[in-house]
Order: sequence, then structure tokens, then C-alpha cells
Amino acid sequence: MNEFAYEYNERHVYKDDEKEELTGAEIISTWLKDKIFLGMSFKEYMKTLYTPLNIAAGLVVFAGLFLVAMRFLFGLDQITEASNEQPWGLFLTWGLFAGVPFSASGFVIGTGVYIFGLKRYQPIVKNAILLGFLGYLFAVIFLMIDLGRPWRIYYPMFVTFGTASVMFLVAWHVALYLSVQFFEFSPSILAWLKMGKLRKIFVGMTLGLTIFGVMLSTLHQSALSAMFLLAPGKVHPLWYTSYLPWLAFISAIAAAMALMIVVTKLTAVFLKERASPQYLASVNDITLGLGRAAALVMFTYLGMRLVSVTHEGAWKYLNTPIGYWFLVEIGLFAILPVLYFYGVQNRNVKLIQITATFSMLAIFLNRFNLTLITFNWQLPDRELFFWKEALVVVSVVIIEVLVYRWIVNRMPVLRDHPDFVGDGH
Amino acid sequence: MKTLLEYITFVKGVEYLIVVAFCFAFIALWTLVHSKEKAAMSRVVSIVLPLSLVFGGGAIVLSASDTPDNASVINISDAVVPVQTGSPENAASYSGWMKVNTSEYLSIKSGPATEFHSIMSEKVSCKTCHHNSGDEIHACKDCHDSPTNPHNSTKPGLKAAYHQRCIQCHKAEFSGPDSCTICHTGELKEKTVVVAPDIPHQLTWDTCNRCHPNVIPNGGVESKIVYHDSCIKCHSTGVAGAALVPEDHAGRTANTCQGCHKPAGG
Amino acid sequence: MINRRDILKIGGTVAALSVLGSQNVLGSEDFEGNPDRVGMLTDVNRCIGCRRCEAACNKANNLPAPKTSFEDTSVFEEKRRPYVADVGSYTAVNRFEGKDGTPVYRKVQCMHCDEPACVSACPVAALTKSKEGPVVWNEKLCIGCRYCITACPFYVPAFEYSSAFEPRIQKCFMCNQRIKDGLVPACAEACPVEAITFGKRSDLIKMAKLRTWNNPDKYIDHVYGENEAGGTGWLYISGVPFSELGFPENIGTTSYPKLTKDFLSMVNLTLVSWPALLGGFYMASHKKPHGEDEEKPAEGIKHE
Repeated sequence: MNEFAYEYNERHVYKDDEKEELTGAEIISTWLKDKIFLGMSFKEYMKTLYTPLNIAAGLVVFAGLFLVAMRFLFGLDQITEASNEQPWGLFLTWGLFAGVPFSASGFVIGTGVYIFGLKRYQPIVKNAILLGFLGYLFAVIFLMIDLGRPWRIYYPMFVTFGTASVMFLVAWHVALYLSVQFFEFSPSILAWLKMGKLRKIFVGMTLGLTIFGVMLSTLHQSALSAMFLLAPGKVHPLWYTSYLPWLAFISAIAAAMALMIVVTKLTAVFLKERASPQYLASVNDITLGLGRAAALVMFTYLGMRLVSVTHEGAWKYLNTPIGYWFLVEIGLFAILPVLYFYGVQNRNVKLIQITATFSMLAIFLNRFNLTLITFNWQLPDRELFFWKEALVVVSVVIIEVLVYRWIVNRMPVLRDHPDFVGDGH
Repeated sequence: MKTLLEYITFVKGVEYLIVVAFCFAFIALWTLVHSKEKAAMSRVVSIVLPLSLVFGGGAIVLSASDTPDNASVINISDAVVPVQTGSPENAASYSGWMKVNTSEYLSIKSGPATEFHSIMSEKVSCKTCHHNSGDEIHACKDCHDSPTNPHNSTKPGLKAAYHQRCIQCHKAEFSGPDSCTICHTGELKEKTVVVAPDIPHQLTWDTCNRCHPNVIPNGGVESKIVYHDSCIKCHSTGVAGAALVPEDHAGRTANTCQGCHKPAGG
Repeated sequence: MINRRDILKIGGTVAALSVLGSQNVLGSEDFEGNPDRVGMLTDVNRCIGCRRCEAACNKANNLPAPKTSFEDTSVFEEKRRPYVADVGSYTAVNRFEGKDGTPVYRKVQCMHCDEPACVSACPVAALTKSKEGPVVWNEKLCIGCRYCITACPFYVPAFEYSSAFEPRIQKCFMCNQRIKDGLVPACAEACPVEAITFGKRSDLIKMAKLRTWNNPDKYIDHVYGENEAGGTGWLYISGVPFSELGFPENIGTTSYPKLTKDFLSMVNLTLVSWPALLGGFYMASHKKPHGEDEEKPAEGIKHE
């Protein structure tokens, strides 16, 4: 029992029964204390932030933000070694090409719960949507860092339309989907802000938003890999295939499931004061269910990969260094369905969680291979990435984790809000 | 629509509009089918249906406005044939060239190569350079336009004509960015490397025979000067591997004579 | 009252209309492009490596002076790309080894493809294939996403990574302003041996073919760019095999926009079919009759 458990254990009642007038300053300070400082005074709250982990994180974030400032003042070559052969580096590969598949958790779990009616996954749906929203938000942030003229990021939406481009599609969909995810998550925000009436409107929109979200997601998940269809000479033949969009979509679903397994476990360990008992009790059951689904999806993905490589006639490249690297990746993808299945059969939750971690690794590897490591494989010397890029990526990821933690500490993500129990949102 | 890209761009734009219209129409349909409360239903439908019609109408209008092949075709044939006056030498009168000052133009143009004419006329016959000339030697610019006429691409422009003619024999010199100065205001070497051109000298018996028929061996003095002295310039010094004219009858066969002295009618 | 059958009928009609409206039945038609479009022909046999074209390009486009002068031969020691390092122009001449060790020179620049990959990649249509022929870039629209660099099979566009506020995409644009003024592009005008010729692309192909056919011992019987990448505006003829001149070897004859066309065609189909499919799933999985499910009275206003 620690000081963060206040909100769950007590029903916090505003001063309804007191008729005295509050001054403006009192209202603001009460609201701040309640909402932002978790019920403590400012000093007490600051003291709780002073942990070694937080300090370390703060230092890294500070260094990262310094580098980002350099980029905005002096140009991209301050923090990347991008060239005219390799224009995209770690920012887009991590934030966009690898990050967005994992952000599919929003639409995968959302569809499962709201469209297919699988109530079993109800406890994790809000978490899934939050993770999806943050994933897309930070994908956009990485994009803003990487874009040559980020102040023009709205151009494909409102100013000029290059409709023949896959990236145009990505731009529109990411913008729309970000809004959809925000609205899908808004019931939790509005519960935190105790705006019941507004919340009811958004709850009513859930089905429509989910359907719209799936529509958008299918396409931009596939579009992110479809962008590389335009570079057949630059992507290695073992990765280049006209089935790239399908592969991307299926692997996004697998990624979402793996992420949810892993994060559910992490929240049950690190954020368990913020979780309701029902949530904590359902972790194992959910993991098993997701594990079973993931086994099937991963198996399908493996099959599609093998078919697509055959279709492109690329097996002859197997006996090369890059071919061996391909075998490593495919090998990883091959054992995962087996492990999942084994875990599900023996109800071994821990095995499923470990396999999920490796799944995440495998999908990261796949996206990195496609967009960075085997891109321009025929060019003699390539700089893959730069330590400054890596530092900025790490610091932005830390910021993302901190934001996630901030939200979960305050809003009803892993639990229902006491005022709005049972409406499923 | 002339290119695939234009086609794709246009069609995708129309498709996206149709999709948006469809989504709105779908919402209207769903609301009509699903909802119980008449008030909410009519509120939603009255907003969403007009939106759908707007986007759908836009898509239809856009599709209809695509008139293939009547779309503005810029007549660029004029642009292709540049109306240019004057040669690069008259850069002062011709301010269009690169839109730069004359002095800057001259700084990258390497200056005239005037010395070569007097030197070359001692080394080769006139017609080695002044090809396709009949009895009269023509100046290069009499036939070669300056600048190039893109419509007659078998004939190089004036500048290229000069240089291509020189390259015929002086191929080794024309290599690399520092070679221009050899002739253009540079140190003109005493002996440049001369390589036999690919088509050994433009001057053959047949070329002469066109204007001076049936001359050898009975030609008049004038004809003799025209062709004989021209041949001798290289064939007495053995320049670029030219076969040497035999000093006397030693080693001659019938073929040797007939190499140059063709019988009448032959 | 509308019943389920009507829904399917209406939905199906709308879906079908959207498919027909895309006119994909014409997908197999070949597009000829603007018949009057201009091009350039580079004759590798004629090029003497004097680099006057680079100097002219630099002057005509007001580019900053390069670090090594245009008369320097040492630049040939490495293969240069246009506009990188200290190459002060949108084009670069590289030296290769020809027959018997004699040097051959090849000019590198934007190929001005008929169906450019970069134009199809650009999400804001900053790069366009102008009607006259050159592929041009509009500074007012570019957002700096560099997808064009990823797409270009010839590795042409260069990006100014060192600029924070005005990073530009730099590449040859065939002096399109000079063309509109009735002039010839600067490099063609400067070349002393007419290794670069300017004219209508269709004329240039004929000229190139005549030249190669009339001199079969000096030229390879292939006009590079006639069909590569679906046809390019810049053509090459050479006596040395093209693979030895630094051309990328994996460029086929398919135009690059065709590679994403099929995916894009699928996109709108999916957007139209998903709502019905998912709506159907929802209806199937929620057994309660219409309008009585849980606490959701109406679907409310959807946001697009």
C-alpha cells in the first residue's frame, strides 16, 4: 500500500455537500492537487519524482532534446549521416516503420472487443488504445524531427495533393487515425476530468470509430511497406516482393498481439497499484487467448513470407551473407508459432510472454532489415546509423514511456473509473 | 491524359472523393437502419447525407471535366528550334546566352584558337579540314549553323564542326579538362601527337576526280598543283603513318602506280 | 422501412460504382506521353571529358563555385555524383576505362524519365513532369520527406542536409526556364564537340539510331533510355557497354509508377468494402435486435 493508491481506495467527492463559495485560486489549486499531483502537495509530489531511475531518464532526455535543438537550428546533418543514397535513418525506421506496426494494438484489440464482441479482452482494450495512440503520436513526432521542413507537415492534407504517391496515403491516414485513436481514448480522459455528459457522446461513437479505425489501419499498415515497392533495385530480393503490403498488415496484427502480451505483463508488475483487481486477475487468461491467436497469425505470416520469396524467385540469394541474415530472421519467425502453440497447450503463461518478447524482436528485425539494413544492399559503403541518432531515439522513447506512465497514473486505463463502472469504456 | 502518372494522379484523386462520399452515405444508411430515435436519426442524416452528395458530386464533376487530348497542349515546337542570332563570338550582341555578362562568358569560353590556321596549312592540304568543298574552299560557317540547328542533326553546329574535325587526327590531345588550353590560348606545342584518323584523310582520288576528271597522268599544271601538292604534304614526310611516296622507280609495281595514277575511265 | 436486402442492394451498387468509376479496365493501355516532349542525347564516344558542361551548368544556375576548378583533372580519380561533395553543378562527368585502356567519359545527371519514380513518390506533387519534358521541382511545396531520393533508381536527387530552414532538393532540371525562353540547355550549348544534343525526344531517338547503325563498329546497337525505366528523357549511345559506365544494372523497362499502381488500386476498394464487412460482423456478433443494444441509442456523429 503506497501513497498512489489514494484514488482507487477512496471515492473522491468534490465539495458538493458544502455550500461555501470557493475562491478561484482554491479551485485551481484543488484541481491541480487532485488531477496532476495525485492528491499530494506540490512539494510532496516533487519528492516522489526524485528516484534514481527518473534522474537517469532525465539526463538522457536532456541530452536528446539538446541534439534535437541542434537539428532544428543547424540542419539534419547535425544528428544524422543521411546521404543522397540513404536518405532515411533511424528516426523513420524506428518511429515510423517499426513503431507503427506495434501501434496497431488499438485497432486489433478494439476490433476484437467492439466488433467481434470478444468480452474476454475487455480489461485491456483501453490500454491497447492508449498504446496505439501514443505510438502514432510519437511516430508523428519522429517524422517532425526527420522531415526537411516540418512546419509544412500539413501540406499533403490541405495544400497540395500528390495522389499517385503511397506516402500521400500514409500522411492522410496517420492524421485521421491519430484523431480516431484520440477520440477512442477520450472516454478515459473525460472520466478523469469528470465530464460525464461529453463522455457519453464519445462512448456512443465507439463502434463507428472502431470501424473507421480498422479501415484506415488496414491501409496504412500495408502502405508503410508498400512505400518500398517503388525501390525494387534497392531492397534486397529476399525482402522485396509485391506482397509487401499484405505481409506488413499481417505482421502488424501479430505485432499488436505480442505487444499487448508483453505490456500487460509489465503493467501487472510495475503499475499494479493503478490496476483494478479484475484486470490483474484476467492477465493470465488474456495472455493465453492472445497467445493462441498470435500462434495462428504468426504461422500465417511465415507461410506468406515463404510463398512471397518463392514468387519472386529469390531463393538463389540464400547462399550469400545477406542470405544467412535472412535465415536468421526467418528462423526466428519459424520457431515462434511453435513456442506459442506449446505455451497455449500447456497453459504456460510465462512461455507465451517470453515468446511474445521474441516476436517483438523478430518484427523489429524485419522492419529494420527492409528499410535500413538491406536497403541499398548493393552500394559499397553505407553508414547505417549514427550514435547521435540512436541517442535521440532513446530519449524520445523514454519520453514516451514517461508520458504513458503519467497517463496511467491518473486516468482509468487499467481499471474502471469509480463513477463509470461497467459501461465497458 | 498523356502519361501514366497523370492518369494515376487524376484517377486516385477522383477515387478518394468517391470513398469519402461513400463513407458519409454509409453512415446515413447505418443510422437509418439502426437507430430507434427518430430525432437523432434525422439530425444525423440531415448532416451526413448532404456531405455525401457534395463529395460524390465533386467526384462526378471532376471525372467529367477530364477531356482527353484537348487539355492544354503547350506548343513547344517553337521552343525546340531556338531562334538565335549571331555566333558565340558575337556574344556582346547576344545577351541571351546563359544570361551572363560577356566577360564571364569569355572566361569559360577558352578564347579563340587562331594560330592553328597558319600552322596547319603548312602541314595538311586545305581539304583535310575544309571537307565537302568542291573547287572553292568554303568557310566552315558557310554550311555549319551556329548554334546547332536541332532539326538537322546529321550536320553538327559550327563549334562542334571545328572540334570534331580536329579530333580526327588529334584524338590524343582531346582528353580531359585541361586539354582545351593546348590550342586555346595555351602553349601551342611544336609537335602535337597526330594519330591517323579513322577514315584516312578525307581526300581521295575519287574526291579529286569529281572535279578534275581524267587528269592523271595527263593533267594540266593547275590540276597538278591542286592535288599533287596536297598529297605530297603528308606522303613525303610520313606523318601519321602515311605511305611514303617512292623516291624513284625502285620497288615499284604496277599496283604502286595505280594506287594514285588511275587509268582514264577507272 | 428499409430491410436488410435493401441495404445490400444499395451498398453493393455504390461499391460497384466506385470500382467502375476508377476505369481500371484501361490499366493495360500504354501511355505515349506528350509527343512533343524534349530530351537530350549524350554520345559517350564523342565526349572528351573537358567538363565545360559542368562549368556551364554551374554558371547558368548560379550555383556556388566548386572547391576544385573545372579544369582540374584530379577529380576523375573518384566517381562523383552530381551536387555532392564539391561538385558545383547539377551534373558530373566521370571517367571510365574503355577499349584498350583509353579513357571514356560519361556525364551523370537527372534522367528526366517519362514516368518518373520521384514524381509518383512525391506526396505533395513538388516534383512534376512538365509538359515540355523536364522533371522540375517546386520549392514552395516541398516538405523535405525525401521519398523521391528513396524512389529514384538512378540515385539522382540531392538534399541539402546542412540547411535547417531551407533544405532543397537539388537536381538537373534541364534548364527548363531556358527552354521556355527558346534557348538550348546550358550544357548542350557549351559542349565543344556536341556530345550532348538537345531536341525532341522522338527526333533524338531517330538520330541516335542512325548514328549507331551507320557506325556499327564504333557504337553498341542500343540507345540507353529508350525503354529503360519505361523510357527516359535523357538518352545515351556509347561504344563501351553501359554496365561499364556506372549505370545501375537492375533497372528494367517497367515504368516505376506501375509498381505501386496495383497497391493504390486496391486501397479504395478496401476502403469501400470494409465498413460493410465489419458492420456485418458486428451485426452477426451482437444478437440483440436493432436499436436495442446495450446503452447505445444512436451512433451519433461520426468524425471523418
